[in-house]
Amino acid sequence: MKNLSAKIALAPTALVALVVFVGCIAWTVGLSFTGSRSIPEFSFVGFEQYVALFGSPRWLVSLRNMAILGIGFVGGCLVLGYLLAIFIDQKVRAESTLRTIFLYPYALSYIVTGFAWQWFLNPQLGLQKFMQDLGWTDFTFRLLIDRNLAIYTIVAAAIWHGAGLVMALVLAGLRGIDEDIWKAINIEGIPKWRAYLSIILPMLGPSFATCILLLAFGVIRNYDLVVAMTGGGPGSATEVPAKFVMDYLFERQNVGLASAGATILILTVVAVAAPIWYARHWQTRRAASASKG
Amino acid sequence: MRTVYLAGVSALVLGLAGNLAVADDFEVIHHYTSQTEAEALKVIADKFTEAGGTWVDNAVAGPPNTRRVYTTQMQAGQPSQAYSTVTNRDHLDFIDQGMLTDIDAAATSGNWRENMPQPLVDAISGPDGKIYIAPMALYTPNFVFYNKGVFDSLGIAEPVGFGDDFFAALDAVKADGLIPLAFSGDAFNIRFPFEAILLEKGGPDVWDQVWNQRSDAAIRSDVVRSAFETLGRLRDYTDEGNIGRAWNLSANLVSSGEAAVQIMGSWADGEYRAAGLVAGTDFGCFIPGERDYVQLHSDVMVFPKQPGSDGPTEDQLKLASIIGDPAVETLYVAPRGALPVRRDAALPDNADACLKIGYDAFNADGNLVPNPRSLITQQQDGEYRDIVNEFWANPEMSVDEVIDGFAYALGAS
Repeated sequence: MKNLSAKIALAPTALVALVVFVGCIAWTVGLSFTGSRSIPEFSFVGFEQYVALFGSPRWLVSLRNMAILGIGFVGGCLVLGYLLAIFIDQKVRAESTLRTIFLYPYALSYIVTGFAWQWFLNPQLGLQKFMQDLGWTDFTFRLLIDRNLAIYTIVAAAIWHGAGLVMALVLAGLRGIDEDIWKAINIEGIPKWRAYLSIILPMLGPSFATCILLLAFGVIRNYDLVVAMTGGGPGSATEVPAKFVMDYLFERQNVGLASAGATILILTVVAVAAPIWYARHWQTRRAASASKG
Repeated sequence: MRTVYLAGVSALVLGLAGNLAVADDFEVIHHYTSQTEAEALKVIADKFTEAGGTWVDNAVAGPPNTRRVYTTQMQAGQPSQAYSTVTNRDHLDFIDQGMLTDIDAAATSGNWRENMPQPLVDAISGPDGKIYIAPMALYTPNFVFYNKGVFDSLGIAEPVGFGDDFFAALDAVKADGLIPLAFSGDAFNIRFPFEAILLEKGGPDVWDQVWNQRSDAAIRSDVVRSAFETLGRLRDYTDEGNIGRAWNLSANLVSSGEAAVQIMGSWADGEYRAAGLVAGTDFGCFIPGERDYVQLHSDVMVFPKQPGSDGPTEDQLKLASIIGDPAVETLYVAPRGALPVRRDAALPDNADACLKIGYDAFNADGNLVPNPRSLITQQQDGEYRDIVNEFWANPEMSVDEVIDGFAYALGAS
């Protein structure tokens, strides 16, 4: 029995993790097959809740918005975060000040971020009014209240919030790049942009994988930002799945339907995490066998 | 290693200790966090303490959050002794599950049934006819406020309802360059204008057919169609900042004179008074329609069954009796600008002109109609508000489409 005391010490944590995480997930999945209303109960109805779920226009809009957020927010954060990290990496003056400024939005909660952006974008309070008061009376900026564009304002606010985190993680990766590689790049006379795109970027794979995973979870559980910025409106144009689950769980007293929605979200998490996890696992194994051979 | 075990053990002990509440504590979960709300609740808490109870205050901001807390507590089998909510059907589900206790003894000895309007008695009763809920204050959800200064300067008279005179008034304000209607376009607020319009156009009969019977014929009738048309027409009279704007911000637009009219429940009165305006002089209000039909909306206290007891505890009955006492009623509603739930309770001295309009309407026979949320489930309510809100935000949606969605939401077809 190696490390017996360590195993005993870890046992409570493992037990809690098993009961809380696995247990709660199983409970939720189980409830999604019941007709539970305000209180969980076990009257099994098969896949009825899932049929209702995918028959609900609001759920379909929510899924579409999650896809837009997933592509726009994750992509936007990665591009902007990488650019910021490269910028900081140029040995600029006041580096730590700039780094703090870029990382600062991440320290704000989504609620604060959402309200700040709502005020900024609100035609009666924010940018539009400011420009009109300055004299550009024809200036209009109606993104937040346009049904087709409102979701992109949420993408923008979320990028503003998350890009700093990507910058910090990628910057750490950049600092870990061997000086010799830079010397080699200089000797070969490769332009800097090309070096960052074709040489450095592939070397930062693990940093980016971590970023993608963190950001993707942010997309799936996105709730507070939408509540603060648009409340799901105009109409139902910016509804997201997590808000659907919360609304049906508590406000609309339909635990069964909410659990079905939550189960779909869990599946989404698995679908996002599994390939990344698998790819990293495969990479480590390949690296291990390469070093052996 | 020893420290790890000790830390684990002490955490476990602390966790257990946290669950052992003192037996006599009476925990009340409520959402009354604003200053006037807290002031009002203190009236009841003080009386309860005087009567020998130990009031433990647990304020949770926002009714949905309050609901989250008490639903979780009840599921865990450790409910508080009382919680606040508004008139709806939640309690029917909880009664079905045997989670609530009736307080019929307090209601009977306090003569609630004789002194409260019938739709209210219906709303607070369980399927067995016993009273389960203690109502604390009444509001009129279908109310219209307007800035009297703006109306007077443009020579506009108070409209009767949502007819031609209403739109003529809005046109006049629009021509003057002000915002005619301070609207709050979101799924929470959209019900107030829509239901006010529907009640004026349909009266209690259509109201009952739509919300209670949910008859397909009524939902597709000309009355409902014309209500949606009127709602859609209002889009041209509000500003583009209306989407997602909180109702109190809309009230501020009217009280500051930037906008002229707001359609909002009588609770908005508090915002106008807080802005230093006087009802009848600086701002006016009316219940839309020839006859002042009003929709029931009440703040209530509900009593979960306590572990090991089948009926109400002594303290629960004590609190219910205090809430139902007409003298306490008058004191309670004074800071809140609400109406007492009992006809034999006096209006507080600070009641303004708007409150009196509501009071007269409530106490006239046959004027009071039930709140839809006492008739339809939370899910039907949510889906109905989603579709009406979508209609509001999307001018391209036809009236036929919104009626189809409305019928679907209420499960009529």
